[in-house]
Amino acid sequence: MKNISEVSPSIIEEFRAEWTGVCLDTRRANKAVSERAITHVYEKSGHKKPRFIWSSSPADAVAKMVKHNIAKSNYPSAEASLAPSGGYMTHESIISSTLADLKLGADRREEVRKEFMKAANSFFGNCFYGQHEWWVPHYLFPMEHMDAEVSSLGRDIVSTWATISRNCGWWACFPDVCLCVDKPIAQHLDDQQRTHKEDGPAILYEDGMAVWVIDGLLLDEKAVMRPQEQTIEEIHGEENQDARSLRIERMGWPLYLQRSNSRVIHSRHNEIENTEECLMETPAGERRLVVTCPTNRMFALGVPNDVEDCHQAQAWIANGKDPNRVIART
Amino acid sequence: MSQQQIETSKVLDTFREHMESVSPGLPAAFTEGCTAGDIIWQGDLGIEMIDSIPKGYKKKKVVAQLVPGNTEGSRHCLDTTEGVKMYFPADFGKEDCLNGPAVKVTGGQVVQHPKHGNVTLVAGAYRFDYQREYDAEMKRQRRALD
Repeated sequence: MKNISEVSPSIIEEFRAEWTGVCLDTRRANKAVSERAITHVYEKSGHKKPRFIWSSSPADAVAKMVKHNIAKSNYPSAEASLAPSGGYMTHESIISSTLADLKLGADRREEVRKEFMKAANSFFGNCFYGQHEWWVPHYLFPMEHMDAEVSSLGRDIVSTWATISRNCGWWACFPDVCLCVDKPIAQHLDDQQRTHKEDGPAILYEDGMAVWVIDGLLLDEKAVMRPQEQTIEEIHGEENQDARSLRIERMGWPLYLQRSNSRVIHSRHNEIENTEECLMETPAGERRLVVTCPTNRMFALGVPNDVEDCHQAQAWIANGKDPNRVIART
Repeated sequence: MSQQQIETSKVLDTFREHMESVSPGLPAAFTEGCTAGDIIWQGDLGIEMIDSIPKGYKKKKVVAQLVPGNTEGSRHCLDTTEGVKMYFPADFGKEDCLNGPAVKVTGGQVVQHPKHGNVTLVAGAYRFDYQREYDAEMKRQRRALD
């Protein structure tokens, strides 16, 4: 087998571009090719061709599992945990949006929610990620470009999975049924290749299922599109620390500090820099130096918890530069 | 409204009034009377007059942009590279590096920025450093723990 350094950089770049393209492809799934390839996988693992059910989004797939009463016996563990996954796409968020459309009474609503949750656990527990399947190019590259020794069965399996990735969105397999999801109609990344969009859903499916992500962090529609309407409870209820900080940034620190009952520790007018400064402490104990800027903006800069006044805060932020030697700020 | 919210509102009102009285983009300048250690902040870029180039900095090709990146915030740029010698710390450009380049200039060069006022340099040596960012440091710590 060749060493990676023996492969031409242009081939590596071409392969990377091709598979980034597969991952971000928003064309409709090729259902016939997908079904043939998936059937091949079933047959290789000793199963018959399954019945295919296509969905326009993962949420639609979960709804279809319930609607078609897809063999409840197929659920891998009917008692699977009802807790949200806490992952990149929570079951709760999908189910809440689906249930919102159903207009049910409170008693029936809880029962249906549990049924959906079981279906969601089952779907995601059996899910493969089609175009988003990172491991396929990982194995395909050495096979195609580094003369890796692979058995004919292995070559067949990797090639088949590559075909599925090139043609299909997410899919979940059960012994006699396969749920396939079409590809999203929009996917957005930032320049660091993280899922990201600040003025709309970062991922959008044809049926309207939207995934709201900024800097690779999962948020919700309100945090992205109407950040000032977020409640303090919603922000404090965010378990992911990075997502919580982002929610506050989106709301705007001054508004957050005002609404959250934050405490003023020290404030002053900085004569030399001609700025107003105020050290504040949030209910969570975080300290922020709120400062005006000569560009007519206001910032709330984080400082460690042992900072006690505006001067100390400026010294910490200044990275060792003596605040007493500042002659101007523009 | 709680007492704390009232106090916070008062402080923020003072801030807003102050901002209305400020003309944005006013320039600043080092003068012949400045000495090593004097600093002008252009936003989050600290420009410090120094006696000599710091140890470990290596002379390299002069570039106009003083902060790595392609965001508007990173566009602190010299108006000219004429009369400028530039030196870089070994870890320049790394995510956690807060030290920018240092320069020796003949005088009259201007550090420009799309939002902040210009800063004019007199002949001498300067170092450019960046503000610490608590949130970014905490994020890196969390990432290291994961």
